[in-house]
Order: sequence, then structure tokens, then C-alpha cells
Amino acid sequence: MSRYFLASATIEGFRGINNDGDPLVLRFRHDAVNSIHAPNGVGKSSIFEALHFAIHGNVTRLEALQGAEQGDSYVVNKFHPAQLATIALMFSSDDGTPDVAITVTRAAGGARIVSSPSGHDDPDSFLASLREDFVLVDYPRFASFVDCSALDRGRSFASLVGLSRYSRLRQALDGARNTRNLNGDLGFAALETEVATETRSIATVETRLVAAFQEVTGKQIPGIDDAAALTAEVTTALAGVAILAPLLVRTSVMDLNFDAAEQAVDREEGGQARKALDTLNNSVTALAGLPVEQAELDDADALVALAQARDEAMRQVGAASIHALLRDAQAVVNGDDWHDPHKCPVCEKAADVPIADQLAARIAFYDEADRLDAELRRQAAISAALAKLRQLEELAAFGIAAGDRVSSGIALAIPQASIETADLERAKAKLMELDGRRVAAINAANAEIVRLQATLPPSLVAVTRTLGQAKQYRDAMIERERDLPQLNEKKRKLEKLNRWKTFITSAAQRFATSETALANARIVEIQTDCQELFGALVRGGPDVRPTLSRAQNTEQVDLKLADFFGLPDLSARALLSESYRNAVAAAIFLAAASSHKGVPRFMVLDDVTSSFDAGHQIALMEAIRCKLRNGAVGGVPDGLQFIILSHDTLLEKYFDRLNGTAEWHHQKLQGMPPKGRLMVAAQQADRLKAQAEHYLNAGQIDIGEPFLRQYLEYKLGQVISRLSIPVPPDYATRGDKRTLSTFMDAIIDAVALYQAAHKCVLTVQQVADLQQRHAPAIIANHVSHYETGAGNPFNAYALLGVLQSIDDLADCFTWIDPANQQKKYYRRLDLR
Amino acid sequence: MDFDPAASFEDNMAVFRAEADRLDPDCARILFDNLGTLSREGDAARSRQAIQDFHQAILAAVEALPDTPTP
Repeated sequence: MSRYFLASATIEGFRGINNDGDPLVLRFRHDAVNSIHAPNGVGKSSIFEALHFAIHGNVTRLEALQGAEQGDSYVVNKFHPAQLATIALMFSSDDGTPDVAITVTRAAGGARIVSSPSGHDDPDSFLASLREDFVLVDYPRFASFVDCSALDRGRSFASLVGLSRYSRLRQALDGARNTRNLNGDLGFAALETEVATETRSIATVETRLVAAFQEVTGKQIPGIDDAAALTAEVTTALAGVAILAPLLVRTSVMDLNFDAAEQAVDREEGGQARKALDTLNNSVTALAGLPVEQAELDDADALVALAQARDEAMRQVGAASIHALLRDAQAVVNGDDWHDPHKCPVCEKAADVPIADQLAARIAFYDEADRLDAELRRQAAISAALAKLRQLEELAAFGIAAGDRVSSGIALAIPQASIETADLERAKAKLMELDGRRVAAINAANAEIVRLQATLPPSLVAVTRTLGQAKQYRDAMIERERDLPQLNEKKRKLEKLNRWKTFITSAAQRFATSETALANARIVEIQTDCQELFGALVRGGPDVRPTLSRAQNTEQVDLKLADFFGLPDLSARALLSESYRNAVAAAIFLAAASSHKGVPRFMVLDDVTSSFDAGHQIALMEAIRCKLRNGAVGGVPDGLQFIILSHDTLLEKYFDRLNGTAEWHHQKLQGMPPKGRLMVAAQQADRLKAQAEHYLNAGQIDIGEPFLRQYLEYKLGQVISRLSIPVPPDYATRGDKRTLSTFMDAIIDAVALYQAAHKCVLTVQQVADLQQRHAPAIIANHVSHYETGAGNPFNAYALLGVLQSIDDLADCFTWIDPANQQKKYYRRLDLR
Repeated sequence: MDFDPAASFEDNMAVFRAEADRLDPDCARILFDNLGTLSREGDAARSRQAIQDFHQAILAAVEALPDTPTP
């Protein structure tokens, strides 16, 4: 697989970088550490954001803004005339594969458009392959690694070791298989309840249908699914009754006019006794269809047991208010303001073990209670026992008022998560009581039926009973044919959803198991390198050996110190100072990045050393230069290309010292964002002068003067650097020191010193020009006024004269090489 | 199923897909057809929204599955 370095970045119209028609061009060496220095506010962060936007498609800081702040509207530079952001990146491979050029543009209010001038088939996919999280690292990401929770660290770690896409997918799959999400989004719980309820209802209907069929026909039912055959049998049996036969000519029992049939029987005999007999027969049928089965009693027992388990879990934690207290305490203990892991934030007593662990254990009890309560509600919603209780309590024969029904109270409690164990115990008792009353009611009704039958002619008794059963048959058949298709449809849907649930649960679990194994392998892979690197970064400090470990079946990664002054396995977060914590993070980040074997072979670090003291900063840079850099002699195999963005002035001294060597490539940014241009100083000096001349000749002093100032700063810095002229070490950190006058003073003082010692290499004329013409002209016409506001306002002619004086002053430090007639800087003030 | 530490994410996803196919090819197809919706990046609220959108798509896709489960 080809791996790619970042060869160059060309940016225009993005965030703070205007550069209309003259883009900022940054070139990077793949075998050197590339550093870019810029003071605050000059546009360094815009470069980092441009790379992020090109590779990831967004600007993190803008995405975090509230919607009303319209973060998107700040992607394109507000002053760019064409309102078009352009980021062109060039990637070079490490195996000779042709370079890949990618250009990302975004118009204000438009979409991000990706293209490849080099003709890459799929530039979007190429950028996606670069989205490893170590590629672009800024300080917040760096600093939060140690201080975040174990879970967040686990996810950060996953991203560090190139597993972020695995981690994100694992989280997504966990969300997809989460029971609560499945119940809510796919309607599992509601559908299960409907299917359970309607299945019981259909079973009751079928019981009635079977009983009625056998009563009317005197036969055992052959099966229940052939409705037409059953109806034909019932119709034939009914037509065998002489007084009903005329009503069943060319029609079936399903279309029989039962009112007419009853009137026919009434006409034969009439009387209240027959109607009472009819009512009793119906009542017996209804009661007989609702026996309480042992399975339903077992179901009631299971509900009670579940409720008791929930109560026990709740008892162990106390109450919901205590749960809230524990959560708050956990937030305090895990926050930045709490520094003693053994001290309770509520009672302030010290404990032997960390309070966070105790809180987690107590909260876990509540979570268990919460889980059990949810399961109880789910089971109650589909409970056969409670359904049977409701049917029995609703029976007219028992005459139980709606407000007195136990089942109604429980039904109301289910959605409110307040099912009481006592209510469930009462429900079971009520169920058993009503079953006893049911049996007694059947016996009483049968006795009454016998008594009434004795008062009626036997033939009409049988006809009345048969007609009643035929009506039962018809009603049950209508009900079944109406409800069964709907139930079957719901069952079919539930079956498919259960198939999906089984699949996604299993697939997500397998993915999680494999992801855990992969992460553990990566931890093992980088652990030693990480500890060695940490030792190098904090050389002279305690060798605490930061150790990562990932908990089984979770994404949580613990960060412990293997040896803290002889004490094993203590929390890195609790014990280390900020600088050490960041050194741990740096060691982990860099070890992880160096072991990565994916497409990106570069790492961009934006101000990651902000909290480091100078020693740790230099140690980090040395580790990068000597060990981790691509091409470092004796360094890691497959070292990386590093691009370091920094505003740190002390660190820049280090960059300057190494700049131009085979190991280091330093660039300094100058410019006036967001309206003006941002440029690389060394490359753009001539352009600065040209811009200054252009605007000053046009009389645009306010635009031209800053270019002149940058040009002057560049040229003075160049003289100081080339001739190794000493400058006060604190000029950059002391507020009363100004760069231009400090540079000018340093140069003039150094020349005077060497001249006094008769060691100065400058000609007499050069010294005189410097001291009597050029330096005074520059100071009087520009530096004094710029730094103090004193003197006359700038005018274009005077500034054009200053521009010439700048070049003349620089020429005072040059000589003409007779070998090739080229102008060269002296090597030192005492050496040509 | 084992992910290869030396393989790319895409290669390991192919391993996962093969494993998912072994579990249930129809459901695996549905999962991978809608994986982009599920793995949309974002904060917790947006992730929850992504799961809801994913499940909306799953409801429709599962409905179209053949009635007899594929063994």
C-alpha cells in the first residue's frame, strides 16, 4: 500500500487567509521536521483548519457554534473578493507512486467541492483514507487525553491508533442493537404486547367457536381453519330442525336471521323461561371460556418474583433521590476541581479506596434496579395472568365496578413505572378468587338451566339451546375472520423484526469482540515504545511508566502508572502534573502514530507544547527529530513526516537554530489577516517589497506601510541571522521591547563594538553609510513614528525612500565575490 | 471473526461483511445498505438521530424481507 507525505498546501480565501489572487504556499519536506512559526493572530490556526477542512470536510470550532451563529458562514474569508475558499494539497508517495493533487473549494453558502488536478480517480476516497486521528492534532485534543473519562479515553485511543472508524462503528452498532432503541424506534414492545393480547383474544374466540360447533352438530371439530366446511356443517345441522329449516333455504348460518328464528320458536311456545334459558346458556359459554390455567398462575408468580428482585435492587441503593445525589457526586469527583480521589465530596471523609469506584458500584445497583423495573413493565404489559384477570373482572356476571378492578390499577401503573409488588400479589389472589367464583357461577347456571329445561317441552328446549349455540358459532366466526388476518399480519411483522433483532445483536457483538481484540493488540504494540518515549520526554523525572489497559467487553481504557515512587498501578490522572500529563499524552500519541501503517505518513501538530516547560518542549522536539522523523538515522522504521505549527517564541529559537539543516525545514509566517496577505517570510521578501512599492506609488499609504514594515523586519532579521549578530535574549518576551528598534539597536551596537575592537569586516564607507545615512533615515522616517506615534504622519514619498534605505542598509553588510561577481553577506562582523 | 491489525479498515469491513452474511445474508444486505446512515458522525444527539433514521430505513427494508426466514 502506498503511503503519502504532504508535499505542499496552497490556501486562499479560507478563514483568516484572504490572499486574493496570491495564495499562501507552504512547501514541506518529507525527510525533515517542518516547522511553521507565526505570532498569535497571524493565521496559523487557519492553516490547521484548512487542512482539517480539506481532509475531514468541516471546521470543528465552527461546528461547535450555536445554529443562530451560522458557523458555516465563517468558512470563507469575509474579505475575499470572489468569496471562494480554495485549498490545494499535493501528496507525494513513499514508494514512487505518482503524486496526488487534491483541490477542495467552497463558495460562500455553497458546498465543498473536491477535485483532483492530477487525475486521481476518487479524490473523496483518497481524502477519507487520510482521516486517521493522529494526522491533525491540536492542543485541546492533546491535553484532554489524560483528563477525560476512561470511556472517552478509550474512544480517543481508538482514534489514535487508527481505530476511530472501528470505534465509531462499534458505538453505532451498539446503538442499533440497544433494547431501548429497538423498542422505541421499531415499536417492538408495543407490537409484542398487541400480538400477545390479540393471540389470547383469538384463542378465547376459537374456544367459543369449537364449543358451539360441537353443540350444534354433535360432532368433534375436524380442524378450525376450513371455515367454509365448518359453516356448512353447522348450517346442515341447523336446517335439520323443522321450525328453522324454512329460514335456511339457500342461505347459511352466517346469514341466518336469528331474530326471525327466535320469533319462530316463540311462536311455537313463547315465554320468559325460554329467554332466560338462552341467557343462561350464553353465560355458561362465556364463563367456561375463561378458566385460569396453571401457566397463568405461574406467570403471576414470575411477575411477583421480578418485582421483589427490583425492590431488593432498589433497597440496596435507597431511592431515586439518592441516585441523583450519587450521580452529582460522581460528576464532582470526576471533574477538574476535585483533587483527592479518596475524599467524599458530600461528607468530606476519607476512604481507603477511590470514591469514584465506590460511586460507580453504588450507581450500578441503581442501574440494575432501573433495568429490572423496565423488564417488569415489559412483562406486565404482555402478562397472560393480568390479561385473564382483566377479562374475568370485566365479566358482567361478576358485576365488579370499574373503579374496584385490580387489573385497571396495574394497567395504569405500567406506563408510569410504578407497579407495586403488593398490587401484583393482590392480582394473583384476585385471579384465584375469581376463578373459584367462575366455577361456582357455572355450576349455579347449569343448575338453573336444568330447572328451566324441566319446565319447557323437551323438543323446544333443545331447539332453543341449538339456536343459541348457532348464534355463538356465527358471532365467534365473524370475530375470528375479522381479527385473525390482522393478528397474522402483526405476527409476520414481529417475526421479521425478531429476525432483524437476532441478526443485529449478534453482528454487533461479533464486531465489538473483534474490535476489542484489535485495540488490545494495538495497546500491546505501542506500550513499550510509549514508555520509552515518555522517559525521554521527562528525562531526569521519575520513571512512572504510564500503562494503558482496556477493560473486557467495553471501550474503556484505563491509564495507570506502573511505578509511582515504588507504588504500583496508581491513577495517572490523579497524580501527574499538567506538564507530565501532557508528556504522557504526547508519548501515547506519537508512539501510536509511529506504529500506524495506513495511508497517511504525516502528522500535523498545532501548538501541542503549550503547557510544556522549555525542557519538555525541547525534549519533545528532539524525540521527533532524532527518533520519530522519517529518515532519522537510528530512528523508528517507517518514520513520519512532521509538520509543527507554533507561536512559541522560545521554541522558534530552536527552529531557527536547526533551519537549513538536513533534518529541519522552518518557515515563518508574516502578514495581516484577515484582510491582507499571509506569506512565508523567507520566500516572500521580494513580494513584500513589490507590494509596498505598488501601494505607496498609488498613494495608498495605509495598505503599503504594513508591507514596508514587514519587509524591514525581514531584512533586519536576515542581517542579524546571516552575521550572527547578538540580540537581547528577552526582546521577544519583554513588553517594553519593540522588534524593529531592538533589531536596529542590536545591529548598530554590534558594528560599533567590532569597530572599537578594530575587528569589523565592514568597509569604512559601509560603516559610515550605516551609521550616518541609512539607519538614521529608517529610524526617523519610519521606526520612531511607527513605534511611538511621534513625528509627522507618514507620506508616500518618505516611505518609498525608507524602502530604498532598507536595501541600502542591508547592502552595508555585503561584499562582491570576485570569483563570480555575486553579492554575498559577510559571514560574521569580523569575517568575510 | 478476527480483524487483521495489518489490514486496512476497508479490508476488515469486508471480513465483517462476510461474517454478517454468514449470520443472515438478507439482514446483512440491509445493514450494509444503510450503514452510512447509521455511522453518521456527530455528537450524542445527532448520533441518536442517526440511529432513529437508520431504524426508519430498517423498518421499510425488513418489511420487504421474504416471509420465510432464510436459514
